[in-house]
Amino acid sequence: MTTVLTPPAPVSGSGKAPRQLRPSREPSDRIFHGTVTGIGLFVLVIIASIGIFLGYQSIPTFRHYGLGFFTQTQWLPELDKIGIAAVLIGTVEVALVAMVVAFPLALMLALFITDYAPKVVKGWLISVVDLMAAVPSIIYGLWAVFLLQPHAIKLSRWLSQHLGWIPIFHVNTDPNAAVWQQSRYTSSVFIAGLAVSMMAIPLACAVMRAVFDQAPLGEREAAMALGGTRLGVARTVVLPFAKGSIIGGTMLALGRALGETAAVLIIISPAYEIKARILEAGTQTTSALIAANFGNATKSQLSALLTAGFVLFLITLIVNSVAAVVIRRSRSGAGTEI
Amino acid sequence: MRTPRRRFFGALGAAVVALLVLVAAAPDAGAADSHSLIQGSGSSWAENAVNQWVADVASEGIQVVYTPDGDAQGRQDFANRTSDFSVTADGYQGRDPVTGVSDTSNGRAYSYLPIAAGGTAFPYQIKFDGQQVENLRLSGETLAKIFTNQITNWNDPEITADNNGHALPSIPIVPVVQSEGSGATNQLTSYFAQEFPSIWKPFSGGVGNTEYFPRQGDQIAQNGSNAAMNYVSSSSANGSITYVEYSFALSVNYPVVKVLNSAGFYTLPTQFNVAVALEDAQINTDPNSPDYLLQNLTDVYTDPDPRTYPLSSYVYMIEPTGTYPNPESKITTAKRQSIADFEYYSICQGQKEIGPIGYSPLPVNLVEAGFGQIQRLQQADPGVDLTQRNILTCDNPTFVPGQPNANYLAQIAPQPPACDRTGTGPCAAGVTPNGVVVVTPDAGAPGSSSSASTGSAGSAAAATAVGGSSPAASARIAAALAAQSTSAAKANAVAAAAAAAPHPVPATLAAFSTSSSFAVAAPIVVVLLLLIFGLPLFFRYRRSRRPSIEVDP
Amino acid sequence: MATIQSLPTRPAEADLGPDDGGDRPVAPKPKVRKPRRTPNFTAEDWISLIGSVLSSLAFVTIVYEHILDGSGTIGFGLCWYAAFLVVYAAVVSVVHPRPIVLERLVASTLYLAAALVLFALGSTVFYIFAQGWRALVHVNFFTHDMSGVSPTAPLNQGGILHAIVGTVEEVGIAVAISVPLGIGTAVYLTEVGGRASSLVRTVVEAMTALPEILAGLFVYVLLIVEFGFSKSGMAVSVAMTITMIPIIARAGEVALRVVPSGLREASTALGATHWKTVWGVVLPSARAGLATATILAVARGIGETAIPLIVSGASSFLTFNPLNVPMNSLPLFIYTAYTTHEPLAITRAFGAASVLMVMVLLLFVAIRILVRQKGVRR
Repeated sequence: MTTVLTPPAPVSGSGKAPRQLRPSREPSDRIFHGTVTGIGLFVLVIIASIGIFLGYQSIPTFRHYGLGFFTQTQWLPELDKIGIAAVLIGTVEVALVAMVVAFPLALMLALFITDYAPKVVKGWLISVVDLMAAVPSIIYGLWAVFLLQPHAIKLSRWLSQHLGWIPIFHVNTDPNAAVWQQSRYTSSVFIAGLAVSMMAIPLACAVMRAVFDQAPLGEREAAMALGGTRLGVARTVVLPFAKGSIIGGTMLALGRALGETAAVLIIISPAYEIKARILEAGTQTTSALIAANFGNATKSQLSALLTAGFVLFLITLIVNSVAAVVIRRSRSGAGTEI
Repeated sequence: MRTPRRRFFGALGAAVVALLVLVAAAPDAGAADSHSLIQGSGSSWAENAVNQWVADVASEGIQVVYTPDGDAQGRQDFANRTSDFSVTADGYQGRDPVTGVSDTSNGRAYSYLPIAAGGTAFPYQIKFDGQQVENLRLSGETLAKIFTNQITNWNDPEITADNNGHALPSIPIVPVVQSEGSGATNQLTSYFAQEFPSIWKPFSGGVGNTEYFPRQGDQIAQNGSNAAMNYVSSSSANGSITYVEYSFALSVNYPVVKVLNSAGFYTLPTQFNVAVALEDAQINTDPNSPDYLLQNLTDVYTDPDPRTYPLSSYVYMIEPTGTYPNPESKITTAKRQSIADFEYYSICQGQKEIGPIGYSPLPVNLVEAGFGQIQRLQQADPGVDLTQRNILTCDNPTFVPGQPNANYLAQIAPQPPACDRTGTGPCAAGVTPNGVVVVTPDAGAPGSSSSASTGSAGSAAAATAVGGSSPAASARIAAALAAQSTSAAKANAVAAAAAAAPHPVPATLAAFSTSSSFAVAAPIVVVLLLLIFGLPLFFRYRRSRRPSIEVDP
Repeated sequence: MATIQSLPTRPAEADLGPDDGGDRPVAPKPKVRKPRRTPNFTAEDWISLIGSVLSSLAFVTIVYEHILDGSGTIGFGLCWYAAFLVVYAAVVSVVHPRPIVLERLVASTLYLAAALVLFALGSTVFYIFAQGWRALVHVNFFTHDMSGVSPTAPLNQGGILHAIVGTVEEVGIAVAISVPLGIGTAVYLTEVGGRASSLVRTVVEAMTALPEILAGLFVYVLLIVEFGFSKSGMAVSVAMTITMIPIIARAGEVALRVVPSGLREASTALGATHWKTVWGVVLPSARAGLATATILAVARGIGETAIPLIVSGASSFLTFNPLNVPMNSLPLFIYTAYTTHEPLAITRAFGAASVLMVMVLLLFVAIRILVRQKGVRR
């Protein structure tokens, strides 16, 4: 950085302007600064141009399909009737189911690691949670299809049996039949949401745990001195302290859940309709849509796919930005780097 | 400071550099002699035949990568120049005047050549009382109503009428359709649009044939023929029915529907019945037309021969005929040679393999026309070597010497049994050619051996009646009969196995398998996991228990 | 001169005898004693916990058949948990006051939640290895590729060598491109700064939200369709770098910022140029954090399935050439083997998944080793 040294004000009466002092930089430093700045700007240009290219694709899309692109549910490339209404709803549904499952589990796991776990296992648990985050999503997809689904559809059936009067739990089949129709419960939003939650839990848990650890020790001890149990300490000190980061961590995990591809692609069976029944077979998400249709898309349909992806990217970006703002403004997040 | 860590990373860096040098110096994969790796994509309907050929030519040094992601994607990949060839049942449609969608090759020069024929079959799963139904018959109209959600239960009176009064129990129908741009969907919807427009058009919103099935209601969509077949054969899919090429059902020994033809018989999509049906296909014979060799199946649907299977069709390969290096800059001579050799193998020696797996070999005239299309590759690039291409070495079971337009399989195709006629049956125990076991729900073991020998004796008689005088012809007849009788023998074995055990539904890994290897693996895996995850815990626990407090006086 | 009252001195050692009278204190020998354990959870608490678990299990076993009609193990587990809460609350409230009851209930719930998540993860790992084991015992699985081998071929034919090589090569190239760029960006953001740095930081942070499939689609549309490059391993690497650079840049920036400024100032005070400071002091100090950032990005890149699905073909041939030829990789192999739905192909898919898991595990062990430098603990 160039520093300009301003000499003290001249003695009154001298009448001369102060001399600017600029230290000269080493040539190696100049090269270094230039290179590093160049790299930074290069990365900026590349990344920004990707974003601009993606956004630019919306122009031919809207010119071709108009605003009906957002209200059309079907995806029939041959008739050129395409739209992302059903796909966006499906994406949000899968992500919401994942977060409903992941949020309590991540919160409880984080609280467990910081307050309840025996000290000997704490570091090990942290490593295990990080490992869980690193497992590729296709492996969770295989696990969900082969191991989880046969058991989860029984839970789906139970939910639709007893809570089927709630519209989202209703399934278009008779759950009380002697031989119940298993195929109507497979490949649903619910199963996909469970698989995605496995990827969201470690992300949310890592953020929350890092912040729970930073809860001020003095306040913890004060709560304990006043006779609080571990639950009391958590309830009165840790959770209020980390409120912002809990929300922030959850939203980060939500951002990840929105963009999940591989696991969802394996699990769901594509159905292009707006459907609130999460236990029933058939749904479609944006990333699965792109993966399934990128090859048969004509030029304008490729632009449409890119626009759909760009909408997904914007949603994820908004979620992540709100998360960052919430974290930064919270008491706990002032010092954390998320 | 040359710490051990530095030395380690230094060695790692050197290894990476060495690897990069190796990469840079390595020869191109597949650049063995004059061949180069070629990529193709397209029909999943033809997937099993193409994969068979790909595996066969790999031993000759021709490397082919085939991605079966659907007809529409195959044509688009070819148009985008991201693939070297594609396989599709329908040609480029041009520009649709109604919707404005254009399906062209984007200016890339191409030719079609037919590579296989086959039938679109309807595998289904209907199980009750521990038995699986295996002799279901349906008319085209019933099928249209099933796939348009007008018939929703297997006990519907129309299905009962098709099965001559034999009613099925009340099981909901789950139609499984293909979600990608699929040639099988195109075959199905063409048939429906042509034969039953009053049923199909209202469902599809006025659209005739399409590659994208307009899934509605309780229909399940699956991506590709493999996924659809796997769905129907999975343990939780009772009541489901789908449409895939016959080889998918045959490879897992799954029952398929017998479809009613115009003569009033219910038939299976065997290689014989498909050959009979396709004698009525109209092939474009104008070499100057861009649709040269493409098919018109209108007459196939209504073929009056009692052995016809209505949903029979050809599938084509699209080859690039532009010149190198301009405009086909990526199709080098080596690649063109690979394409030519692969095509030659496919339509020549490869044809005798696809019959037993569920397709039907091409007749001679189409093979000869295909040779002409391969010639175009040499016209585009004289470096392509097409010597030693002799149609007589193809050993194609459809060849009849002296009659290039005849299909031997169609000639020897056995007549359907009388119990397959409308108003009679359905057929009880018995074996059909190509070895599919037929069992009624309430029959016991299939009594197959007698009818099998009757079947092969009958066709032997028919063969000698047709008469091949030359030794080559009789050798071919013997080969065809051998194929038939081995399939009959195989069918006997299948029947015996089916009698001994419940019908082998392809197992999915839905739960932990209980085979013995698993019993060996499980404790090893458990011990490994315990070691990996438990040892650090154990050591940390030890460390925390060490006494460390000294009490001072 | 005033006499200073002398304080009583300790008796000289020689004066002390082993049993010298009785009124002189004997210095006790320093003893090493185990610290006294003061458990929160007494034996009585253990008994009440185990008793509640067993009794609720027994209760639900009897009642489950009648009320809920065999809705599977998950339903059973839920009912067991509900019954356990009720029983345990009742048992604990006999002895302890209400805050303790709540505390115990919540503690048991937390233990259960942790056990559930660990069980899910453990079942994933276990299932992958258990299903892939049959493929892993064949040596040809690691030394052959799948050329000429159909998906239905038995497990002693064919292998995933081409997928392993593909993954290593694609990730290697991606790392070779993205690490210099990412760390360079991180250095730019922390060391050089300037007016553009906040813009760069915002854009880089925004790009971490990019879904991987969009990176793949971008490369497909631009490089493959527009510019006519062929589907290859290089395209996969380029798309991977797009997703990896923001991760390395952000985590690297954090790692560099944590380096104490005192080190930087000391280096400058000793006369080093900025370049020498960064290269010789800052980067080595942040080595662990930078390595962690890299390995996090690599772990992300290794597992990406959507990118190779779009920009590379699932080739069955072994190739080292990243440029013109489609290159298979482990996630893509797993996906395409799964979609054939052949049982043997699915076993191979699980075998490849096991190999992938081992790779990720090794990466994480590498993180642990690298982070633990010079006694710095996590």
